[in-house]
Amino acid sequence: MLPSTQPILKISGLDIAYKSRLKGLKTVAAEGVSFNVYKNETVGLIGESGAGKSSIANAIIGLVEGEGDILLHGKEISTYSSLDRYKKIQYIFQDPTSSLDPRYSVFRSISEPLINLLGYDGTQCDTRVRELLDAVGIPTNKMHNLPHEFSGGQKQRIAIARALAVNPEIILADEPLSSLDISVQAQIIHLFQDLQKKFELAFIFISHDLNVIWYLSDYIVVLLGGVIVEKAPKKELFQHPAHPYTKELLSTVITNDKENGIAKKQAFIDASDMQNPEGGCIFYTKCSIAQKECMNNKPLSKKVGPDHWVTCYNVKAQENCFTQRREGAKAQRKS
Amino acid sequence: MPLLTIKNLTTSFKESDGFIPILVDLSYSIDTGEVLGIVGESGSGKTMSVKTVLGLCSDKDYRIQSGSILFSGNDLLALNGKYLRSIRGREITMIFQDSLSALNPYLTIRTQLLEALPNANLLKEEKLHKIIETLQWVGFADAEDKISSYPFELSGGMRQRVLTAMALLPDPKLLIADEPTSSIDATLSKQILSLFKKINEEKNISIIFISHNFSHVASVSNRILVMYGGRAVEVDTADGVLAKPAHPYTRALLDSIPLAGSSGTTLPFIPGDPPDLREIGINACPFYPRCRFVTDECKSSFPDKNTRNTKEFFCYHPLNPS
Amino acid sequence: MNTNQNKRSRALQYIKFMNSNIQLRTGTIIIVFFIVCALLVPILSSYSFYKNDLDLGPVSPDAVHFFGTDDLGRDMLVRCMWGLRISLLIGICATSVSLFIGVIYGAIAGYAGGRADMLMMRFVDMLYAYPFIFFVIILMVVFGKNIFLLFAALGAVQWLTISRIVRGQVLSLKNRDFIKAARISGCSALKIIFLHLIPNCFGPIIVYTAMTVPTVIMEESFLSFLGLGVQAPMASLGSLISDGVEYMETGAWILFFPGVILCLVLFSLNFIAEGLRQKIDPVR
Repeated sequence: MLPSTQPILKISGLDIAYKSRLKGLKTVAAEGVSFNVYKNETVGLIGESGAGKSSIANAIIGLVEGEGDILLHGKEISTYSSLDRYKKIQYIFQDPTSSLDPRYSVFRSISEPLINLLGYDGTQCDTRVRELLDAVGIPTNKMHNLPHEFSGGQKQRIAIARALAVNPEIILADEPLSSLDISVQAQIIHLFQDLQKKFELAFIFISHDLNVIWYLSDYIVVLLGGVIVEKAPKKELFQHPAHPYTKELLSTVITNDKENGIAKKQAFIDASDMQNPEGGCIFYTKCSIAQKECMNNKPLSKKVGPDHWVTCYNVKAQENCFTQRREGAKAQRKS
Repeated sequence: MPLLTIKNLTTSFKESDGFIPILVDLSYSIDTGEVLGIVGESGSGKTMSVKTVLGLCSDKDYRIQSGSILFSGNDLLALNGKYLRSIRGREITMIFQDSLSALNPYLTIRTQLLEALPNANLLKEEKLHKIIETLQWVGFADAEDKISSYPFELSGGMRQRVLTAMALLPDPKLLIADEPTSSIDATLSKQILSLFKKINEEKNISIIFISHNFSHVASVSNRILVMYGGRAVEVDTADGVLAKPAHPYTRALLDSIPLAGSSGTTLPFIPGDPPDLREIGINACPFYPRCRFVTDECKSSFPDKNTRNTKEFFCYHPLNPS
Repeated sequence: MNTNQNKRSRALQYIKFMNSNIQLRTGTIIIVFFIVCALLVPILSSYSFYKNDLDLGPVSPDAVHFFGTDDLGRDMLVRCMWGLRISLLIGICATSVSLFIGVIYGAIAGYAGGRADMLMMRFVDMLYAYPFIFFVIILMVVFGKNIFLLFAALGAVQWLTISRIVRGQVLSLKNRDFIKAARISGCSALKIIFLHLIPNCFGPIIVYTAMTVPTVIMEESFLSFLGLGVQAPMASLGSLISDGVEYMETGAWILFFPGVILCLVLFSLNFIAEGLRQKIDPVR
C-alpha cells in the first residue's frame, strides 16, 4: 500500500462509559466508534449535544479513559508517553474565554507548550510565538497583553496558535466556532482552511452545525447517542444520505437561496433523551421506517459505497463495490 | 401608534477615564402584533437597548444621556419607579438567554410561576389552573406532573418553555426574548422558534426577538433591525433585509453565514475586529474600518436616515440602488 | 524602559484602586502612618525601650515623654512603637506561615480530589476541633518561650481556614478549560498547581490575608496578656496592655496608649480587609 493511504490515527471499537457516583450507574458516552484520520484531511464529527462527540475527542487526547483501540501511526496510543501524545495531537476548546488562563499573557500561553513539550528557551519561544501570531492574524505587538484585552474571535485565534505551536499532526477542534458571532465564525472558518493548506494538518472537527461542517470537512461521521450511524465522504453524504437520521439532519439544511432569503429548517428530533435503548437501534423510537427487528437487535455497520458506512437494517449493503480509497474523494475536493 | 418607540437613545458607561458609548442615537419602534427581530454581533448594543427599556441596567455607571422610550404613549424614562414596575413584568415581559440561571434552582417550577402571576384576585386553584393551562399551551404535555419539579430536573428546551410560560402569564402586550435559542440545542431551537410564532399569531403579542443568528431571526420576524456599534444601520421587512440589503454590513453578514451544500468551498468573511467606539468615535460610521466602500465622509460623519420603500438605512454608499 | 513604565502604571493603578474605596483608603492611611512611626520613632528618640530610670518612675504624659513613662521610668512612646513593631512582625510572619502551609495544602487537596482530598480535609477538620490556645500553651511549655516559635504556632493554627478557601477555589477552577489546556500543553501536576491554579486564587487569598493579620495580632496580644507571648523587656502591644492593667488606677496612660494603638491598628487592618473583600470579591 502507498504510505499516504496509511491513516495517522485509526480508531476502532472505541467504548467510553462514565461511572455515575449514584448507585454505580454507567452512562455510555460512546459505543463501538471506529473511524480513520488521514494526513491533510478533516474528519467532521457531527451530532447533537449528548451524542458523545466531545467524549471521543477527550478519549483520543487522553483526558478520558476509553476501551478500544486508538492507533497513532499504527501504535497503540497508550504506548506513547503523554508528552509525546500532546506533541502529536493538540486540542482547541469550545470557549476561548475559559481555555486561556486569564492571568497569562498571550506570549506566555503560547510558549507554554513550546517550553514543556519541545524544551525551547526564551529567544526561540519569542521567534516561534511571533511566527504563530502572524499565521493566525494577531498583531505581534499585542503579544504581551492579557486575554481579556482581546475579543472572542481574537482569543480563539490565540487558542489556535497555541494548538499549532508544537507542530502537531492532528488537531482536535471541539466546537471551536459555536461561541462566536457569525461574522467572526466566517473569519475562523477561513483561518482553519488556510492553516490546513499551510501546515498539512489533519483535523478532527466537532460540531453540531452541518453548515460549518460543510466548509471544513472531507469526511463526515454522524453520531447519535454515542453510536456512529453513518460515515461517508462529504459529498457522498450530502448527495446520498442513507440513514434516516442523516436524512433528517440534511433536510434541515435547505440549500442557500439568496433570492428568496434564507430558509432553513432544523430537525425536529429531540435527541436529549436518546440514551441507548435496551437492545434495539438507537434511532428506533424516532425512526419513520422502523421495523420489528430494529427494536430488538442492534444493526451492524454496513458498507454501502466507497468509504460509506451505514448502521441501519433498511439499507442494502453493497458487497461488490470497489474498495476505492479516499483518493477519489480527495481529488474531488481539489477540483 | 406604535406600541413601543425608542427615540434617539444615547447611553454610555462611565469609566475611570471617560465614557464608553453603548447606544448611539438609536431609534426604533414596534407595532402591536408585530415581531421585530434585532440582529447584531455581541457588543452591538442589542441587549442593552431592551434592558434600558425595562430599566434593568441599574449599574451606577450606566448613563442614559438623551432620548426617550415611549410605551403606549408614556415615557418610560420619565416615569417613577412605581409606574415602571406596573409595566415591567406585567405589560412588558422578558425571556432571558440562559434558562438555567434565569430560574431559581431552589424553588419548584410551581412556586416560580405563581410568583410571576400578578396579584389578581384569583384563588390558588384558579391560579394553578391558569399556570397549567399556560404550560400546556407552550408545549408541556404533562404539565400537572412536571409542575412540582425543580429546574435542574428539566431539559434545556423544557426550561426555556417554562421561562416562556412565565413571561406569558401576566398577559403582556410586549414580549422581549433575548437570545432565547442560543443556549439550547440547534434542533430544539426550531421548536422554540415555532412557539414564538404561535405566541405572536394566537395571542397577538408583540415580540422583540434578539439573536445573533440571522436564520433564527428571519424565521420568526416580520421586520428586522440590524445593529452595529450601538447604532441601527438598517431596518426593513424580513424579506427586504434578506433579499435586498442596502447596508454593506448587512450584506457582508448575510454572506458570511455558512450554508451546507453551497457550491464554493470558501466562505466570504468580514475582515477586522468588532468596533471599539472609543477609537472610532460616535460621529463616524462604526463600520467604516471594515467597509469596502469607505470614503472620507464615512469617517467624519454618520449618514442621515435614507428610506427606500419600507426600508430605512444609514449609509452613504448603499447597495442595490433601485 | 517598558517594564519601568509598567511598574509605574502598576503603582498608579494601585493608588487608584486604593482611592476607589473609602474603607480601603482610611485603613491604608492609618496603617502606613503607624508603620512609619514604628520604624522611625525608636530610631529618632533618645530613649530606649529597655533602659530603666527608676529615679524617674511613672510620669504622666508631658512635653518630654509624650506618652509618659511606665513604673520603671521607661519612655512609653518608644515602648509602644517597639510593641507595634513586634505585633506587626508577628502578624505578618505568622500570616505568611499560615499562607504558605494553607495555600499549598488546600491547592493539593483540591487538585488531587477524590480520596486524597477527603483524607486531607478530614485532617483539617480534626485540627479545627482542637482548642488552639491549648495547643499553643503546650508548645510554649514544651519548647520554652521563643518569639519564632510564637510565629510558627500562630501560623500553624491559622492555615486551616485558608486551606479550605483555596481548596474550594481550586475545585471550581480545575474543571475550567484552561487547566485542561495546560495539561495538553505538557504541564505537570505541580506546574498546574503552582503556575495556574494558585495564581488564579490570588483574589480570595489576598482578602483572607488581610483578614488574618489582625486576627493574629489579636491572638498574640491575648497570649502576651496571659504571659505566654513576648518576654520582657521586649514588648508587644499585648504585653504592654497586660503590664498597664496593673497601674490602671494610678497611671492610666500606661494602659491607655498601647490600648488605643492596638485598637486603631486592628481597625485599619479590618478596614483594609473589608475594603479588599468588597473590591475583589463582590457579592454578585
